[in-house]
Amino acid sequence: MDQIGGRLGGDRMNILLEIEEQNEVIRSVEVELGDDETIEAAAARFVAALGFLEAEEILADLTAEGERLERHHTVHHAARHGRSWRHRHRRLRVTVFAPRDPKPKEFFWNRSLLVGEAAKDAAAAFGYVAGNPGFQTFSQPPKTLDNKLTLEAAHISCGEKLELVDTGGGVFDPR
Amino acid sequence: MGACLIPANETRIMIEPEIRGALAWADRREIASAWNPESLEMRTVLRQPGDLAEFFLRGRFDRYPFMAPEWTFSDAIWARAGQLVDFPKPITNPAPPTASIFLAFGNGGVICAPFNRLAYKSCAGPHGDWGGPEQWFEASAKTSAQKQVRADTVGDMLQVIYRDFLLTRGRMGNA
Repeated sequence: MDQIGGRLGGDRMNILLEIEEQNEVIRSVEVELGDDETIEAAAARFVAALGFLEAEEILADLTAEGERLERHHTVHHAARHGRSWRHRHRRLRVTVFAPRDPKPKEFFWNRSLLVGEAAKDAAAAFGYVAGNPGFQTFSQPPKTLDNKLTLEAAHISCGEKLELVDTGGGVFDPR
Repeated sequence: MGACLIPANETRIMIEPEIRGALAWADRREIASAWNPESLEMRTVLRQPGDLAEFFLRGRFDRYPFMAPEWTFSDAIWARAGQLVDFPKPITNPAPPTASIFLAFGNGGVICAPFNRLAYKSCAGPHGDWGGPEQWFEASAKTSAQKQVRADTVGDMLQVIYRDFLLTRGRMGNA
């Protein structure tokens, strides 16, 4: 009973999670957590607040003051190392432009994601409802990426800028 | 057929958000593009990879979006249009990933896509199988389901034309 009572009546605290990319904080989110919640449960709460990443990714690299936080630890235990926690993300951050919208959007994709799947994700975010979305680079001259490659195989690097393009063919085959 | 009754003012209002997207696209690509809201005409100058030869892309938008716009290549003073000498020639080696939308047809060139009024048979184009240019949205849905090109806004149309323009060298005809 004491244990249950203690759990229900546990203290709550605000924990700041900073998302780090190449030694820079690129996103942060603050979540109120119960001190007897596990780090695993906390990770799920961070994911809900961030809107991207997965709990397992956060758990794979989560620290407080340099101390690695394990999934079975409690928030109370982890907070002894501070209430500012850090996750170094391993995703590709890509800025996507769409020819129909003056403003870009930012995406965090797994490196193993196919170009075509990422393009569909971006196209949906920009309100495209049909077509065969793909990406064009900003290199000179620009190139249309192969939808069947992974982002990594297409040499997309973190911070890259891409533009949506329909990859459907024309009706004329010159060959 | 009600499309014929669309006043220019209505087109001007409806197209304005699309034009903002299209002009932002041109800025990003460092492409000279100008919109004339009075004549409902867009003029864009594309530079071909390699020798940077200029091509003059003209879009006319009367009765848009109820009627597909009219896209073609013009001469440098925006006087004549649709001549082979003004059209970029698709390359065959290296082969583009998809068939080009630039087509020699009749005595001239045509941008062969459902979003171009001039591709429809009723407007002297090659396609009698897409209905009329007032059915361009339905035609686009049908062709994109067959993995052919789709572009539903002015910016998307420019991007697709640019995509295939990058895979051209020289001109379809001689002066």
